[in-house]
Amino acid sequence: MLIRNPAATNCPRNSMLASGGESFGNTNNQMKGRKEMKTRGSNKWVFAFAGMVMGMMVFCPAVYGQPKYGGTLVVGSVGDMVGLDPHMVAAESSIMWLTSIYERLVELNENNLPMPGLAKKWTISNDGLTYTFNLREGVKFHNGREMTAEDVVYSYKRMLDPKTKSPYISHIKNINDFKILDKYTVQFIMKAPSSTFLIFTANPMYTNAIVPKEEVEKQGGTLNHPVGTGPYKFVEYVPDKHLILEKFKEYKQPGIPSSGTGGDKPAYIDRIKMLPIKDASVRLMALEKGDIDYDLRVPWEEFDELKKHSEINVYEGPGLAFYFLGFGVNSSSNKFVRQAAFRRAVGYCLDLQEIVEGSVFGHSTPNPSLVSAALPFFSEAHKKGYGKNIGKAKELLKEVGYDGSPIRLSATKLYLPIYKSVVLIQQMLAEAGINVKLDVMEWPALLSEALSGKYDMLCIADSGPVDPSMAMRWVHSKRNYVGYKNDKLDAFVEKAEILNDVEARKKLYEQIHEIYLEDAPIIKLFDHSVAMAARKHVKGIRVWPHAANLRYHLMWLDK
Amino acid sequence: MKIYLIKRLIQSIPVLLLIGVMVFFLIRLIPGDPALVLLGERSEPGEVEAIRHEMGLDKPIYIQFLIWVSKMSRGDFGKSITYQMDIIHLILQRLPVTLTFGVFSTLLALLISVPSGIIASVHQNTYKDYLFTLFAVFGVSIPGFWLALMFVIFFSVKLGWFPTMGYVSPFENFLKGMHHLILPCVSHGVLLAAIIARMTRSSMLEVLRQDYITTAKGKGLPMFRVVYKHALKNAFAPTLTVIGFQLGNILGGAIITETIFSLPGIGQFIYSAIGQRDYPVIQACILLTAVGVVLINIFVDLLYSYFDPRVRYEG
Repeated sequence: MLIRNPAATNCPRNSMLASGGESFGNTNNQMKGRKEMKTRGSNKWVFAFAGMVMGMMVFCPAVYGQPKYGGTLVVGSVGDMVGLDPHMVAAESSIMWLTSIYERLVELNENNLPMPGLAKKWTISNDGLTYTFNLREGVKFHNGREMTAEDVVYSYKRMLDPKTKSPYISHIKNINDFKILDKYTVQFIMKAPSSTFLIFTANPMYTNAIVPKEEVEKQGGTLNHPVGTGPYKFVEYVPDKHLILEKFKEYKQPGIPSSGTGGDKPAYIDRIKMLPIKDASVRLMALEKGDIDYDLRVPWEEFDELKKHSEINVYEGPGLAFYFLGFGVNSSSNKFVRQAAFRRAVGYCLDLQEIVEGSVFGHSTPNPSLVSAALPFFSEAHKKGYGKNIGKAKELLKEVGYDGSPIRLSATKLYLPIYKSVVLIQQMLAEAGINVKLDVMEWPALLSEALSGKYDMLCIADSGPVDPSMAMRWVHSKRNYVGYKNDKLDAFVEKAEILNDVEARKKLYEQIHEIYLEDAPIIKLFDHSVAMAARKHVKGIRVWPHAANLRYHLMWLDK
Repeated sequence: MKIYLIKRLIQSIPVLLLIGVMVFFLIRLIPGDPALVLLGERSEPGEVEAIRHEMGLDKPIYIQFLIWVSKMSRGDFGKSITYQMDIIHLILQRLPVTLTFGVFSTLLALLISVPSGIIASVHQNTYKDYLFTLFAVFGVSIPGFWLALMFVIFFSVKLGWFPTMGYVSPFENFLKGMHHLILPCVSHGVLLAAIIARMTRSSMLEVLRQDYITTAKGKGLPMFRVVYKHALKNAFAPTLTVIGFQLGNILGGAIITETIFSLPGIGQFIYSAIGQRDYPVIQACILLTAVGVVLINIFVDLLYSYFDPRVRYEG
């Protein structure tokens, strides 16, 4: 999938050398549904290929030029920022910018696993209850003060305080206490062992920012003028107009290769200006004219056409966000929806590839599993889905005595792939005689239905679980809103959340997948790919499964 | 006059109160919850309740209303749920944009519409009138977003004359500001001009048929004087009403134009706030817009007496 990504040809030396190997590993995981490479007797080709890649790595700067410092990058963003306080925002449109201003204790590497961030290393006690973080020394906030263990404790306490209304609270509520051992060493004492604490701390879609206490107090309790430790500092934000960031010249490099959101952050570009342009066609026109350099989200309708543009590069890669069909398992008043056999029948009516073709022009990966294909926990077993089988669907419908009564399917037009998917799903279900009535509503109304369980069926997207445990919120009995409960599945989910062994967790998620297919509390449709476009002088863009670009520090301008 | 003004201002209080009540309760009738929008689709049971509690959304609705009214009466518009900033600060940031855009596009509309309406009425049933009718029908029927997009494609992307979007205040940098404002003002002004021009034409036609105009013509007054001194002044009152009405509309934000040209004005603000279910922002914006509309209407009413001396305002 990444083959189409011209980012590989941009390859600023740092990023390519640093994490290329990891990237390939990840990509292989994502080559779902493609033919496996033959391995037997092909060693010489492997060596030749490796040699070629090494050659590209070495000569890339010579061919494509060394990264250049300086310049201003103008970025067209889908929406405006929704709040600036890093502990209070859940919206991607804010987090993707705050990620350049703030840093986390632990960052996420290219393979979506934790790597050092503000903590240069960490140890976990044998009982899994004590995390000791050793902080990098000499890291400065943008106000000039050094970041210390006190700031870490203050920041986490602030997120845990209900008054902060932090959306991250549920992911850190396992923390029981903090101990400051010295200026650069801090301990987190947990209530229970957890395999997900580090990954949640590193999650690029949470800021989990370390902030300076004095700035919060100075600003009256809300950090509306961000002050962090990141490679870019905040200059100005005018709502609905622009956000301006400037390179933080005193940024102390961690001294480890760049990968994911971690490692060295060279920050080649001096100034970044974000313009919120809600209308996708206006954003594209601005890109074509050169009013913006970089469009963060290209609609799939325009993507293939844009590839032909001589001044523009398009970028595409697998994403973590996924679309799915949910059922009001025990919350719906519809007696059919409440039966697993009926829900499975729905599964047998669906052709996931056709849904991908119709809703996103084929630019995503059909995936029947709750585990995203871009994650290291995805395995062959997760490829097993229902597969289209109208005969089987009809059999199951007969078994539950379905009488053709209407089933309400809720959706929204705000995210076009949702709307296009439900139109296709309606047709597909009609083939087996299922009578679907579409109920198209505004996004907040759909969200309200999704989180109250008051629906028969609904199509919605999850913005991207960085760990499979996050996707399990749709099926675990204590975390879903539709009253679905399967004790065995609950036990597996809980066990997977305390095991630290990736292979053991992988096995558990495979077992969960089997139960999930049998009960069909939701039906996953596809993992949504990421699409971006930039003018050709913008270099160093590397597609990562997290929805938007989070790594402006690796980009540079060739003009 | 003064007594009339005071009377009108007092009369507007119940109107504003009614609008306040309607906005407060109607926005809460729309499905959706600001706590859910804030937390996103991944929020888990318990979290939403906690945030709702912090926002005071778990209190009975009449208590929430009383709290809001009491705060508003003290001039406290509250904080935006999404931005966590004072609403008045956020509105004041955007108001100059909407006002600048509104004033310039209305001026442009007046420059086009009044002369063309007059010419069409004076030359009724000639090619000039037909051309005018074509323009007016075009302006009234064309969708605003389509025209704006066509302008961007042609004048910005193809010809490269104007920026595709963005805003620079003309008070900071006049030339650059106007460069950014021309396309939005023209695309909005053309639509506005069509509405005003149609009204100018029809009221002018009515006045031009009056006896005193025939008398003026019979006295041998030049046509220019007849039209501008005698006819237009009388015919302008209905046009003024339409202009006042349109100004009120702009104050509420020309949402489509602001969105397409990424103008950081009130329209975009209300639009986003509705999407985010940011109740305090929606309430404050709509109430302030209502105040603006009421004031503009009072001003327009007062202007009537200038155009029509028969209108007298007495207590």
